[in-house]
Amino acid sequence: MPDPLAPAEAACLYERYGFFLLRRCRTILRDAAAAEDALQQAFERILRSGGAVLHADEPLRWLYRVVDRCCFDVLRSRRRSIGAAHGDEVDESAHPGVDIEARDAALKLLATMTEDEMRIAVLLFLDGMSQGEIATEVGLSRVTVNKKIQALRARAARYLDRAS
Amino acid sequence: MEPTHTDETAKHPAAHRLDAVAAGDADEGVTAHIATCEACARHVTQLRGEAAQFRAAHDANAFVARAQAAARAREREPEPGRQGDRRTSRASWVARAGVVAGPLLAAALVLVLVRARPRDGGGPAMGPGVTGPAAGGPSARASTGPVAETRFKGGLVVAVVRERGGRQERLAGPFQVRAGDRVRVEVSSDRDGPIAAGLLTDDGEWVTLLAPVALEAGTHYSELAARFDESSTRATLLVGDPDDVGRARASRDFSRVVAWRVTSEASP
Repeated sequence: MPDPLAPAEAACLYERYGFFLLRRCRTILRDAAAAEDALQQAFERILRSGGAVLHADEPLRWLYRVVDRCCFDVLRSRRRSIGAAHGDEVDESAHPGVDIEARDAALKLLATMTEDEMRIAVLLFLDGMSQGEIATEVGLSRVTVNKKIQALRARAARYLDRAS
Repeated sequence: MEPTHTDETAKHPAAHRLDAVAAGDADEGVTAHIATCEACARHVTQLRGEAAQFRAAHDANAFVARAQAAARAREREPEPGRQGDRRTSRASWVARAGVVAGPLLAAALVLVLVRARPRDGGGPAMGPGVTGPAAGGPSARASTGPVAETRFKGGLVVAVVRERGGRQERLAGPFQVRAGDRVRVEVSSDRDGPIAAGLLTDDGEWVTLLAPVALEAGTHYSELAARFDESSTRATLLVGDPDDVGRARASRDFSRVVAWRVTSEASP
């Protein structure tokens, strides 16, 4: 049974990282209200079974994985409802190495992706991770990740072509 | 199409590492990098400033208290069709609501417990019978008590079905609830369009009744229902276009959505 996290410890995490977590939710979901819901849901999970974050080498990275999963849940539910057309424009500043146009195209396609594709797209387009880092993070071979990345880039390119 | 990242990508630390340093974490590699990389230094400085503003405006303890309350409420509720299993995730509720597209879905209700903690000063000045719609909002005047329906701009007809002691009433305006009441939303429209509905408690908790969904023309019930307990309830029912509902939740400006006040009444 995973360890719970004490409310005071959760409050410390929110104080330190809350801005970054909410910003990430907003970027992925492109919906301010849904982002707040997702962040609250993430903290419900963290309170229930997030004690491990206290021992994580990179707490923010650990927390990002939790909020990513909550956001993916929202995207999956949205997929069954009004689809990827819903969402605000992303206005969060991007990692200096990220192509913002490609990132935004990928984010708009997130709701149409499988779980693995969503994870890879977020790590690639939001976090600016290398293929090797992504392979380690998602537990797939580098070859598989490379193929999926090429497919994601092709889809993003087609999306941009249609939009232009 | 250009590659995802610029040629300089490999020179920059991953975003989560830059974010962590902006949050106040130590990372010698990132610190050394931003000492020589103007783009990353600018990015981290901007994030630090935004984070500081966020911290000044948000109470961490209040946020965690809300998360705890939401988790407790969820754990008290049985999953639909599984009386013995009391763990229901918010995601599953949303997913359930998301597939409500057929007309007159009178499926078994998912119960959502709605509670609002008493707070000083009460809620917004929007008590029962005071629902005059603002400019640009609902065009019909709402009223308390059971009525047939209320029609709003855009051909949207909204009513609330309140189940009390085995009896159902259709209400078309601000309404009151007692412990044990169940409430769901009925939406009729003469055209296809997206819609969302839910209850916004005065202390900021959102209870989804109808997750954003593209409804066909016709009459639809929210698959989710709210059940009220003996706690004092101060909330507002919001129904409308998902984007408008989202903005109303964030801004508390209810002028573009159907907004009906929901309050407790004394038990007989």
